[in-house]
Amino acid sequence: MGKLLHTEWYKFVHDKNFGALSIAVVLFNMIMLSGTSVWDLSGQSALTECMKKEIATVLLACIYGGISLGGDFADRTLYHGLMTGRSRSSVLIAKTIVFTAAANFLLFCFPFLLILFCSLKNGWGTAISAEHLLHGFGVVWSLLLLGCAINALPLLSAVCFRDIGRTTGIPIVLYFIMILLLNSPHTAIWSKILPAGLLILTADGTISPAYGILAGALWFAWLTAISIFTFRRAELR
Amino acid sequence: MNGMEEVIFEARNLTKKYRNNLALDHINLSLRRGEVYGFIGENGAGKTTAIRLITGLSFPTEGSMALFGKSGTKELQRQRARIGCMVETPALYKNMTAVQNLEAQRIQRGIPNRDCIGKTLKLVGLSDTGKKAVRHFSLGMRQRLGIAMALLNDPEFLILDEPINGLDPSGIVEIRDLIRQLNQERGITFLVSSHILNELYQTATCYILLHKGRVLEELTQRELDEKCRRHIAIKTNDAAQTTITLENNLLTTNFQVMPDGTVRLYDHLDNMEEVAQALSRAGLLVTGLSLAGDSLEDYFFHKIGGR
Repeated sequence: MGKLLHTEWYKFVHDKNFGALSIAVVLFNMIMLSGTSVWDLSGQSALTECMKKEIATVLLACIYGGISLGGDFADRTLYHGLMTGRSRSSVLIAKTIVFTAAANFLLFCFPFLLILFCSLKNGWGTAISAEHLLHGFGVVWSLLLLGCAINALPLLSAVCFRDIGRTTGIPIVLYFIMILLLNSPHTAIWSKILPAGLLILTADGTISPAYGILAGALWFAWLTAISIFTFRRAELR
Repeated sequence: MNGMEEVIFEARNLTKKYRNNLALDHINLSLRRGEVYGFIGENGAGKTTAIRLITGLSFPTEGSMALFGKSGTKELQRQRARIGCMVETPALYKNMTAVQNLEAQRIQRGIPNRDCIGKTLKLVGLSDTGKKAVRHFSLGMRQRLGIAMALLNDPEFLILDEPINGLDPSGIVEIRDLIRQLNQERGITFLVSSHILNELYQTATCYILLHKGRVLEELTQRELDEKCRRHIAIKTNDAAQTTITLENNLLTTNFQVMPDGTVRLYDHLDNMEEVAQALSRAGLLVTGLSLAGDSLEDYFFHKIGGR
């Protein structure tokens, strides 16, 4: 596993698409928020606001999923691991770890920069206590795990379709379906089930970080397990 | 057991079925260490399917395999670390350079010394590609890099699927020489599939003829040479009448009509005069009569009953 992780890391370091997409994420969000009052909010309020505007960032993360995961399948470079005597599960787990970390960076790099900027400029918004720090720690973990859950969609898509087009496109479609459900008459229910809704509810404090952590972990574990199960039985070309 | 006779890959009743298509039909194979196997077959004969099964990309529907004498899912997986392979087009990281591609492979294989990268690139003639990304490589250069990736771990068994695709004539000669050199100097066993049969003939020491998912024949170079029968090539003004004459007058059906109208007679090799007289007596205009032998290509098509 160590060698597989090292290889994935090496590939990631030499992936120029990731750098380009990171810059695109930051620039795109800055343009989207230019002229709004978000820059005058406190750090805590900025967190809630930017989570509501994560849609565009999620789309860019899906594109990264297509390039990184779909590309590895389409070019058959992922199969090198199989031919070096590794199990299919190890190969996919190594890929998942590095991809999820990178895609989470794309999802949260701008919110992090924005919150840092707002906190330095306007303060955090509430008095910082040990209890607040613990809560904040929980929120961060919750958001990260929900990000993992969202990023597991391109993983499953890549394993099922093994090309760039559908690995990019299908998670985007699924994400839009998620947004539609979150705007349906049953918003209250869907927002407590779907990762995209949970992301907002965790950020604004409607649900507890523990619930977000649990839901994010379950979604991520479930989608990753299906991906591994599918990949272990896939006929590869 | 003698080292040269050691079986490194064995397939028993290996079958692969895709829905209604039987890609491999109960094939039995036995590959001995130190040989260069030419894997011959038309498109869809099952060559790549067999290679996918050996390399673990695909699962058999029926039958069993053994690599270096070990069978079973876990053991096969472990033994695959001892092989190198290039299946169809080379699987390369297109945004990376040749060196970076090999470095990724080196890390994955756990090869401690980086020297192997330079040596392997030199071996395949890609030492001077510098910072050029693989996406800018020609087809031939990609093919060479694919071979380099397969060679990096100094494999005992190297599987190359169409390795000379896209190579120019000098590239083909270089790869041919490389296979020979690696086989003779390092004792690497090769399984090489190629459509260019005459090229394969110059490299392989054994042949596996595959047709419609079945192994038609497994034979050594010597056996092939014996079987590439000598024949009398007859060219007349009427091929149909020639065959009738051969059947009626020379009492043989051991001949074959080629697409260009040439009749290949596998009998009466020592008596060409008798053949000439029979044809002449039948009123045929003989424009060519000579003694010749089959090439590997001819033999293959003769076996599958084509052309």
